[in-house]
Amino acid sequence: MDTTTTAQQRRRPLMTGIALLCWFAALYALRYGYFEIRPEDDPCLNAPESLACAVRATLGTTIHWQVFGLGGLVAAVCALPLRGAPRRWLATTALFVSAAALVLYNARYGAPAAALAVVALASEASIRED
Amino acid sequence: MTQPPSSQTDIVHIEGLAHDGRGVARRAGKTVFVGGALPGEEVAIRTLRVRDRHDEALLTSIIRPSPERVTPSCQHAGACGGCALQHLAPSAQLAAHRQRLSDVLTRIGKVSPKRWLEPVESTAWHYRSRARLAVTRDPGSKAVQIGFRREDSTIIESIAQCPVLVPELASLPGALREVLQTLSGASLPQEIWLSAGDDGIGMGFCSQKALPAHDRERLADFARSLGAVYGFGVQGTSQSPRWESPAPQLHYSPEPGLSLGFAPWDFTQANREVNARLVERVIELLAPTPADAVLDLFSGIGNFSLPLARRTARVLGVEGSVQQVATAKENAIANGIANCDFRVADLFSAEGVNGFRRNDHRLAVLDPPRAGAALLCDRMASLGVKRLVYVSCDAATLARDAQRLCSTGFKLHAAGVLHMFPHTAHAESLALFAR
Repeated sequence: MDTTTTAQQRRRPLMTGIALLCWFAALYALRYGYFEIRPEDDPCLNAPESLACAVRATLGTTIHWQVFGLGGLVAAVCALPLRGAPRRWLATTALFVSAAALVLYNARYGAPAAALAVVALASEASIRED
Repeated sequence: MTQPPSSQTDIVHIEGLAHDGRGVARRAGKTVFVGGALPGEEVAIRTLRVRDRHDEALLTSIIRPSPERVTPSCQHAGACGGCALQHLAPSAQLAAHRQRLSDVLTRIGKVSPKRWLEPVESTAWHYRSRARLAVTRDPGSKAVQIGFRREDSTIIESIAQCPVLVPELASLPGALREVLQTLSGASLPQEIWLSAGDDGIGMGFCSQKALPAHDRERLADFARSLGAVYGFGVQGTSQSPRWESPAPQLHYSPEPGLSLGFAPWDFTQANREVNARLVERVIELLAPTPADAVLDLFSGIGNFSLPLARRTARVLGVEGSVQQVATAKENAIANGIANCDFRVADLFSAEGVNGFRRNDHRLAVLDPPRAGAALLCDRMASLGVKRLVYVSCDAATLARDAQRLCSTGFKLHAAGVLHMFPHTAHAESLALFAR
């Protein structure tokens, strides 16, 4: 293994961590800047037939059906039996999707999904170190 | 016990509508009432009041709106206590009323009808032919406020126009405010009762004590300038105002060829279009023959009695208000109906309820106020009534009385709702009982 690849591998958790923090910030901005707003700014309270409300309704429907939570859980479970890059990529995807679930009101499935994604990533990292 | 409001936001799923039009959700096993939320919606809420059995919450934003949500047409929707459901499409309002009737009949009445009647729809706007406007003077600015009271509040939502009132009445609040502003200020009417008939409009100015003569004259001038009939009433300490007599009269037609006179402050059904359908349906359900005798309880000014008298051998209308019985008798005479009698009786007292002869009437119509007619329902079977149509403006008391009727041998054959008051949390219900 050359030194460039090894350095990239060492930086990967840090990059993932930074990306995850940015992702959380974006999600919280979405939650408090778009969903939990003042009633007078809510397009669905003031103009339910508007496009702005339709967009909100679509996103709201994914929340209602726990799409982020279930999506994250499925991805995390699928990542567990894999090995190598596929496992790492799928577990990382599961982690980001479950982060969205945790922030956007899908914690029931989002929490176990995030835990499984972290387990998958940690076990993949320990295999590589061995 | 009530705890102070919380600043924490929660997301809840709205499962249904309460009797007052608020959304109902469950949070940690406890019921939460959310004003302005609709069934199927995911909403962000902030808790306003924590009580022993339920919480009350403020809707802060909608995460996932109901497809039935619409933009309220009236700028006062949400604040005005008159319309609690303007944000719900009218057809969905009617479906919600039908669902609520079904729920309370099952839960409170422990009965369900053999068949459901087709719901009766109404025009959504400009349907309401009577209203009671509250009036006050702002203590700070001294400006007159006229409108409807806010939900669960004595505060008046001041309005200039009301889009549920019939066109003749819709813009009267604003015009009345202008006139009231010019009164001396010694006293104001505390309520103004508006009514529209087929032949014009009427106003009743109700005050705590008699208005000064020059203020009365100014209000009378205003009414006359609109061609309206009018009258003055004094509330005093009594429950209902004393109106001066003789009362001016308006007229409406519950069915073709029949014209009923009424004073602007008499009780009449608020929605004339739906009332005509209601009368038609009551007759259809009662299915009277020309030989039948009918008992009409809470008969008012003869809304059901007189159409029924045209189809049967005789009708006895019973009503608690002396004034309404006198008007009903005049209406019978004016329409050339001789087989209909009216009697004054307190139908909430045992004395009033026991004042009927047994087996005199095979058919009955019961149209009680919101409180229902529990005592009457207990007596109905022993009076010999075989077929009864119950008209109700409160589904819960109808359900309670349905249980009483069914425990004395009646069966609930049919039930249904009529959209008598679009955009409000109320609906008119109808039930046919037979034994």
